[in-house]
Amino acid sequence: MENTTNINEVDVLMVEDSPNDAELIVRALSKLNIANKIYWVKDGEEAVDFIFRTGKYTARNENFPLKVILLDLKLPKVNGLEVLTKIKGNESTKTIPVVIVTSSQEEKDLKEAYRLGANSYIVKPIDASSFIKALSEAGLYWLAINKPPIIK
Amino acid sequence: MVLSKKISVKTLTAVLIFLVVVVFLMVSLFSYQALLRIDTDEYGMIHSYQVQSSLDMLISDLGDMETAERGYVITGQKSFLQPYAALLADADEQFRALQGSTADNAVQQQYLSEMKPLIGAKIADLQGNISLRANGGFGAAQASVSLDKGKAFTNSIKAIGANMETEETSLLQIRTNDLTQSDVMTKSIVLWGSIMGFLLALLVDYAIYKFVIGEMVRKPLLEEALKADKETEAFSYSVSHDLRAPLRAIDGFTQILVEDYGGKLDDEGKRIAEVIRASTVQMGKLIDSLLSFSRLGHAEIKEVSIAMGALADEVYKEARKISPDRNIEFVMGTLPDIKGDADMIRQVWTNLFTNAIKFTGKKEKAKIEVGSTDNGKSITYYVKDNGAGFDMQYVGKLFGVFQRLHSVEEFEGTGIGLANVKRIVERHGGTVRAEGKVGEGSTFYFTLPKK
Repeated sequence: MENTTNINEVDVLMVEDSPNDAELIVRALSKLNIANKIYWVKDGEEAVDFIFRTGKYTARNENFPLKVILLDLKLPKVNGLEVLTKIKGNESTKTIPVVIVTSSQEEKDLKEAYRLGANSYIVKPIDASSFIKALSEAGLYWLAINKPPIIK
Repeated sequence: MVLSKKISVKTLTAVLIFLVVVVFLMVSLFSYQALLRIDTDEYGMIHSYQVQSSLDMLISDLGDMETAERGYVITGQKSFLQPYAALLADADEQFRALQGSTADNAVQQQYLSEMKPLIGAKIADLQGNISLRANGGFGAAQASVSLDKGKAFTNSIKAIGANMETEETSLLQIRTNDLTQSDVMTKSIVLWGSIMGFLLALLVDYAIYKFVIGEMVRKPLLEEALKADKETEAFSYSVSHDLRAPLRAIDGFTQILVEDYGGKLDDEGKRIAEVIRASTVQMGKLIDSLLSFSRLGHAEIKEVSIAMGALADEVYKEARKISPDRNIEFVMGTLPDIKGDADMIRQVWTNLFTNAIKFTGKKEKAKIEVGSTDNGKSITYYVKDNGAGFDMQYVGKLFGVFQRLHSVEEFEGTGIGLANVKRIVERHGGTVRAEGKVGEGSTFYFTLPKK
């Protein structure tokens, strides 16, 4: 699976190290006709670069705000909770809704994610139908129902 | 965290020991100083008494000498002069004593230096009269005595003596007060100092007990427990995260296969895809079961008083919802309250009731009975059913992990339920056992200690 989305027209940033899960998520969201608005990064470091326009993302247009970030917790290099800390600790990014999408059912992770300011926490079900259903519902909620603040 | 705690206990102990030593040292120092002061004061008081007695003696000596002189002058008999020499010597001695015992007092020394020529003059007067009587006879001596020159000297000496006594009395007063005061202070310092020292010593004792004994007993256990805990945690994490991911992919892509290429699959192909999906779901359940079993091993037991009757009733009603249409007679005996972790004990009841409902599934009229027996030290709770039962020769396998006495087709399940029951009960310090007969039913007992 390749990124075909223009980096200046991203609504959903998907931070996911498993290509299989990434594909399932895209499949779930594609039913909302937003497949071309999803951008996939495979590790925490790239996520931070994308969000803060550093590294290879310095050229990303800052006037096109993200509508939601789907964040896995177990990630190579910089883990999900560290990425979350950076997002919620910065004035310009803290209002972006962050949905944790993880396999971890550990209460410790759940509590810590909310403590750090996560807006939602979804445990990936093993059952793919439930997974796709959960993700498309979450996508619908955060992209169509939820009204985010206008970020300048 | 453990390390910093260890250091702080060590440091605390050292500081406490140091404090104890300081307190006792201070008490000793104060006591010694107080003793020295008492000694000085007492010495001073003895001096005061000595000064007073010497003054009295000196004045009385002079008076006695005068009496001797008068007696001799009147009678001319030498016998009257017999004590005179001794009195003179004594007066001299008393004067020296006065000089000695007031050596450190400038005021008294001044009085003494004023008194000395007066005494000299007084003695010279007495001496003169005695000489007159001896050489010139009664008349001349009587005339000299009648002049009463000595009286003025005596009065002056007595006046100075009185001043000296006043001085000594005030000194004595000061010394007495001082002694009383330092006595009170010393007593309280020694008393409170000792109490404080004793309390500190007790603290040290406690700290040493906690640090040394506690360390010896707990350290290896604690480290092992922490290590085991960490390993279990890492294991759980990896199980819940890594083992699930491929399963989801298997399930998800099989589904995609059916959705996107369903048209190209015949019925057998679709059935095979369904088997794959059903197996991944079963595998998922097994992972969850294993995880819950592993968590039970190290989860902290939060002990509370549990209303067993209410809990069992609630759990049964919840479990009953699995198959609401079935005909089950539920008999509830008395279940005394007990101390334990409410969430864990709830799991015990949940497992026993779902099992009872599940294994009576093939009975027309199912019967489930709960009750208890109390032997004073512990309470045994039981769940009895008239279900499928089991062969007693396999009773040892009942509570094992993933051990099943029935096929999945017969009765579904992962084989973790009773293993969880056993683990929970044993972690509460209790025991489990079971009785059964094939086709007639089984009874599961769990015994929890009273606390």
